[in-house]
This record gives sequence, structure tokens and C-alpha cells, in this order.
Amino acid sequence: MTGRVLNNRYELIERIGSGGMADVYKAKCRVLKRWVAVKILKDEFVNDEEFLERFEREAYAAGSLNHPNIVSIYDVGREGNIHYIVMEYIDGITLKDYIRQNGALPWQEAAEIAISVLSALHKAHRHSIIHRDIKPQNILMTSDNVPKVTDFGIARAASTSTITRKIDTVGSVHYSSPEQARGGYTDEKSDIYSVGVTLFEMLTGRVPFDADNPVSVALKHIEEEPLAPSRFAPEIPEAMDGIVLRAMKKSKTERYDSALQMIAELDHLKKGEIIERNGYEPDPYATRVMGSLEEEVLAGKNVRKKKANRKEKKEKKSSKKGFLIASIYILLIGLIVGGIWLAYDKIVRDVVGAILAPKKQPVEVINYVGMSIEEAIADLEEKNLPYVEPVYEYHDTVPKGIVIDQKPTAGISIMPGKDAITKVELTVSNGVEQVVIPTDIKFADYVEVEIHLRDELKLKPREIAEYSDEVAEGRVIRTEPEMGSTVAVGSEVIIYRSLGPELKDVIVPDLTGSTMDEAKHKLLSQNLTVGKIFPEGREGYKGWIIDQEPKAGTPVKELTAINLYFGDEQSPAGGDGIGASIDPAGSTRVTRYIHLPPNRNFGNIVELVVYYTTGDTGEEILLRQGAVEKSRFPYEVLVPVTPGEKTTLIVYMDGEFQYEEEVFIQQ
Amino acid sequence: MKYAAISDKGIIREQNEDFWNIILDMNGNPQAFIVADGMGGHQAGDIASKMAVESISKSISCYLEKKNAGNTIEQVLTEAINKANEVIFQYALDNLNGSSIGTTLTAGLLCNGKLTIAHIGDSRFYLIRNETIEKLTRDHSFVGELVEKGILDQEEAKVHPLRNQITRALGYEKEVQIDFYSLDVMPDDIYLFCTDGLTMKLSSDELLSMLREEKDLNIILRNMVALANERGGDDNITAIAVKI
Repeated sequence: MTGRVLNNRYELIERIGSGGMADVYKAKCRVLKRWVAVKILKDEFVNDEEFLERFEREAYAAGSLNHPNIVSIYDVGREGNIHYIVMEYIDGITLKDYIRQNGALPWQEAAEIAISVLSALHKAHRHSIIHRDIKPQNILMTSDNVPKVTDFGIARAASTSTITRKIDTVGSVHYSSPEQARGGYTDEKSDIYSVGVTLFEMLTGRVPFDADNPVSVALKHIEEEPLAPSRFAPEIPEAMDGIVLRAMKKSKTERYDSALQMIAELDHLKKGEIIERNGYEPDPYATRVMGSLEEEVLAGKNVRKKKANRKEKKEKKSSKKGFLIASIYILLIGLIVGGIWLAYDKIVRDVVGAILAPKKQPVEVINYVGMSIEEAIADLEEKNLPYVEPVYEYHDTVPKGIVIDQKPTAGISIMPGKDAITKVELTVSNGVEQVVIPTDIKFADYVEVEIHLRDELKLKPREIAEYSDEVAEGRVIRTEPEMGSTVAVGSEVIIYRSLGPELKDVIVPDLTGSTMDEAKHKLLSQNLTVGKIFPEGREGYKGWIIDQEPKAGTPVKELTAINLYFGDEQSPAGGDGIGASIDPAGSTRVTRYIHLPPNRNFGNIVELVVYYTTGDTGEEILLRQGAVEKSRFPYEVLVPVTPGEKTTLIVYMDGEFQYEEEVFIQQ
Repeated sequence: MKYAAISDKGIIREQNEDFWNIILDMNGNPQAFIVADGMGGHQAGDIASKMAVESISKSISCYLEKKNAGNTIEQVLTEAINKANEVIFQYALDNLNGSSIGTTLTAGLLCNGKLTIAHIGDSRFYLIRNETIEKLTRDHSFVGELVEKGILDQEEAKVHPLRNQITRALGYEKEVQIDFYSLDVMPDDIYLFCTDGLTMKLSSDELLSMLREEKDLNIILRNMVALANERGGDDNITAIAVKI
């Protein structure tokens, strides 16, 4: 997927994550020239239209949420079978990894992160959007430690898919509320429960309920009381225990009524306003301050890098640091004083020199712009004018070696002599900027090369597609000018993109009567491929081919897929597949194995012909005919047998009768 | 003994990820029955179930031809299933770029008047005897286990968001744990092996009454599939019915 451009706009640069439902790519938005994250739905979801509609609807709804603690959704789109969401690119890590890296967080920091997450939820809940999958994996920490909640509503969309079938891992239920574990009605308070679990994990570095299988974890959410976080980290205030345990109440009515109410308590705790209270009845004070708090919450809260546990260390170091800072100051003062003295000395000498050498008169600086640098230097030397080393700059129009700027401007007079204070500064064109077309881009992915040439080398790539037997499709064959040449920035470079080998016309071979393996072999030798196999879905690989599409003799391009129709092997009902008429009515296909007679020598390929006869008619019906590799014996065949009727299998090999076998099923 | 089998991809899905097989002995009598419901992303859902049925069929066929003395039926099935597990697990490692596939498996092997059932996942085996139906196998699924603990009832399980999650699968991990059940074969017993495409849509009472109303197993299975499809048909449906 990397290197692909979605809807001509989002260039997928690298995969940065993968979840149960989607892969996430870092991508470049060509229109707005910014990094974005593109979440691409996995294959197994793309056939379920009802789910897709729901997924897009949820994504759009979440896209309406604009909040500093919510990962913004920019776009929802699809290209062919690729369904994707374009989101704000966050340069950071998940809260899960943040906890993994830092261990349990200081309770003050945990409280701040929880407040940020809750303020995001408050905003969403006001828009009737429930997250339903709050967990540290869905909370991103930016490089400035701003928590941002992602994947609003998407979990819910995913759960409606009837197509998905997952072999479960424990992770999916660690943060589920009891009502979610039961599959019951979920609402805002389910999110609050999950925030409680997340806060527990931030405080203690562990989830409250763990087991080696998801069912046990779910049961614990339903039945077990969590331990207080302070059992794992004694410095956690009792009031914090109370907040976590209230958010995690089994009964929704006992939890916080709203995200805002929980924020209020965390806020008071942080400010030292919550002391001990009996029970967890709503705090009247919280309601009183809600107006101003609400504004604050809706504006978003950022957690600044604040590490209480590191503060102590910092303080211990501070005395040493003091000495260091003082030394730096002394050194700086020394340098400045020294510099002033040197400059003073120079000025004095210049002035004295000028006085002592009255012959030296100021000389007018002429116009050097447009002159070659050699001429300019020659003129300066001749006039004994001081100058500094010329500066070279790329220039789109002025040829290399021509002066493009000067200081002082023409007409100003300066003192001659190499030591004079005012020196002539010249800027010289270095000509047009040149770059070398890399030599290692043959066979490279076309899109990557195009991006590199355009963005890094500032060239104008142009694409020409052509066939190549040597270079795989989508890769670079050559460039014009050729690889390794030096070219001016901004110039056009033609990149030849391979269409793969040119496809010749071939004639479709006759595949009827062949097995899957033989058909594959025949198709491969003609450079054709196997297309759809009918009857769809099952058992098509068994038995022999009764029809094909396109038909034998049709001229087609190489690599054309040929659809194969197998006799309907196993549908007992007569089935709806092609070839159903072959089997006698009421018969069932049964598996038999054809054995090589032990007392005969066969070559590597055995010409096998198998007939069967049924009950009354005794008519020999061809069941199987073709060349079979010796190694494939005992060779499986499926015989249509009518229960209660005698069926005989007649086996010929290399044109000779070998043996008969009776197959019988009781009625 | 009469038997019939059916497999239908349902009306929503694009492919049938269920596979089944009935294995006959040298005399043409059915000896083993297998249903498997595969899963795995990236359109690889049918690989595991197909490989499981093929591999186990081959092992059982070999056993039926040789009848290795000394091995119990459970040992035979364990060996066959472990081999299939290894084959699928290795296939995923070699070909699927880190993603795993797996399959449910419910297989029954007849021997000396006993039916031995090996079971992994949430396909099911039902015993119909004396006008009653009994689900013999335990569902290895998230909701199935919660039903067993009395947290959910059958109806809640059918609409639970996690109803599709199974907790055990063949080929998903390096080793697999197999549940075994065994029963004495009695005259007029009916055995039903099926995938969850059937049982998510039809209750066991419905299955029982359909089995009682009609004699022809083929017709019964066709009716069951038709009813499951009528109720959504959002999953593949596979069933084998055996009447002693």
C-alpha cells in the first residue's frame, strides 16, 4: 500500500499502526501540503455495505467534533475498494506506550490527562456521540504531551459488522464497562467507566482486572470490585481512590452523571479542595462552579510536561547547576570585554593609520553588478580596496560567475587598504542549482521516485508508461536525462514507468476434463491465469473441469484469467451449480482413493481413466480422465453414489484395465 | 445409516469459508464427519478451514485403511488434529505476513459402536434421541462462555456485539486444546454437525421440530438453510445430518 496515492491526493508514505479494523499510514496531503494520518479499513469489512455506511456516518459525525483533545478528522473517502479516513497526524505515542515507558504516572499528571480526556468526552457527549472504546491505545500523547482522543464512534460501527470474525485477544475487554461485557445498552456512562479504568492504569501501571482470557476479564468487570489504586501506589490520595472507584461503579446510576462532574472532582483534588468526604454523593460545589468550568473544559486542556517524580532529582542537582551557570557568565563577560578591546584597538589603529598616512584618500566604489567576478576582483586589487571572500548563490537567470549584488552600493567612497574597516562584499551567481539524478532508482517504485525527484531534488517529473520485460509493473525503467546526469533544479525529468511485460495474444487451451492442477499447468504454460472457480466458495478444486470461460480456442491477451467450472461435487441436494445434472438424482458424492497396483511399474505420469456404473443401467460413465503424476496416488476421486444402489468404479491406467471396486451406501 | 450434508454461503458473504467432509470406509460406510468454519482477514478466511478438512480427512482415511492397533480413537483424532494445526499455523507463518488464520472444527469418528467427537470453536454437535435435542459441545466463544456462566441468555448472546469472537481455534496458535465427547450409538439417533451460520439463526427447538416433521435428511437440511437465509443469511451455513 505504501507509495500509493489515494484519490490523487493522499500519498501513503509509511505504515505507522495497525488495529483490528484498520491500518494507519502516515501520508502526505498533496493539496494542503501537510502530513496526515490515513486510516484504511481492512479488506474483510469492505463487502458489507451496511457496515460501510455506518462506518462512514460515524466518521463524519466524529469529524464534526472540534476540540484540542480530539484528533481531528479531515476527510472520509473511498477509492475503489479502499475505504479510508483522513485524520490529523499526531507526532507522538499512545498513552499505553507512554505508561509502558514511564511506569505509573504521578497522580497529579494522571489527573490532568484524565481531565483532558474527559473534556474531549464532554464535547462529544454534548453532540450525542459516545466513544464506546476509550482505552489508552486510543489516546495519543503529542510530543508536547497533549492528550488527544481518537476513533470516536468507530468501535461501535465495527461491532455492527456481521462479517468480522475474530479470534479474540484479552485486550479488547480490559476497558469494557459491565454493560458492554453483557452486550447491553451503552451510553455516556460507559465512557466514564472506561476513563475510570484508564485512570486506574495511569495511577498504578496495571489494569484493574486481568486474566489470561477475555471471558474471565469480562466476568470480573461484571462481578468483581476493583481494588483501590492506592493499594498499588500508597502516595495516591484517598480522594483519588474515591474518584476512580466511583467512575468504575458496576451500576451506571452510581457513577458520575457526566464527564463534567468527574472533571470537577479531579480539578478540586488537584487544587487540594477535596478533602475527605463520606460516600460519593454528588458534590454541590461541583455544580456551583460548573459554568466557568464548562467554558474551560470546552476550550480544552493541555497537560504540560510535568513530572513530579523527577522534580526532586532536579532540586538535588540545582546547587551544582548554580556553579556551572556562574562560570558561564564569567566566561561570557570575559569574551565580550575582550571583543570590545580588540575592536577598540583596531579602530584606534585605523584612525592613527589614516592620520599617519595622509596620502590615502577615500575611493569611490564602482558598480560591479553584471561584471564577472574575475574582473571585479581585478578592479578592487588595482584600487587597493579591501574586500571579503565573495559569497556564491544559486540564481535562476544570471550565469555562473557574474556578480549579482554588492555592498556598499556604487558611488559610495571608502578608504583603501587591506585593513580598512569598510570592505566590499560581493555576491556572485553560482548559476542555476544543479542536482544529480540518482543512479539507484531503476527498479524502484515509481511513486516513491516521483516524490523524491519532486520534493527532494526539486525537479519536474513527468511520467511515461511503457512495457518492459525486465522491469516489474509500477517500477522505474529509466529516466530522461539518464540516471546519473546533472540537471538544473526545476527542469523536467521523464520517468519511464513499467507497465510490465507486453501481453501477447494467446489461444485459450481446452481445459475440460482436467483437474485443477492440470488446468493450472496448462494455463501457466500459455501465460494465462486461473480466474474464478465455480461452483463458488467450496470444493471447486476437487474433481474435474466441465466448462470454462472464455472457451477453448478463443484468442485472448496473456495473463487473462480463465474461469473454471467444476462438476458439482458435493451438493447433496443436487445443488445449484453447473454440472448438477451429471450426478444421478438422489446420489451423494463419496470419496474414494485410486491405488497404483503394486506389482506394476509406472512412469512418472500415469494416464488415468476412471468410469463408474450405477445400479440398473450398467452404463459406463466417465468420471475421470487425464494424466496424473505418480506421486499423487492414492488419488482421490469423488464418486456419485445412490444410496441402496450398487456403484462400480472401473479403473484403467496407461490404457489398461486395472481393477474394479464396488461402492455401496446403505439406504 | 442415512446421511446428508449441505453448505451454503448465505446471502451476504462473497465466499463460503465453511468446509465439510464425510469419510467412508472401504465398504462405503460413513465413518467420519467434519465441519469447519474458517476465519482470517485479507480474504484468507477459507484457507484454514479447507486445509483443516483436507489434512484431517487424509489422516483419518489413512487410519481407516491401516487401523493402527493400539491407538485409541481419541489418540487418532488428536494426532490428526495436531497435524492439521501445525500445517495451518506454518502456512500462516510462511505466507500471510504475520497475520494469523484459524478455523473451528467439529469432527465425529464412528468406531465400535461409539461416536467420538473432537471439538474446537463454536461449530456444534447436536444429539437428537428420544424426541429430544441436546447440544453436546461447549461453544468456545466469548458469548458462549458467558451463557454458560449464566451471565447471558441465548437470545442476548445472538445480538451481543462480540458474538462473532471465538476463544479457541485450530491453526491459530502453535498448539491447540481439543475437547472430546463420546457417546454410544443407539438405533434411531440423529446427529447434527453444523457451523454457527445455522445456530445463530435457528434455535435448538426449531432444529428439533424440523427434524421431526420430515424424513428426508436432504430436504430437512435444505429447509434449515432456507430459513437461516430468510433470517438474514449473513454467515455461511454448513450442516451434516446422520441418522442411524
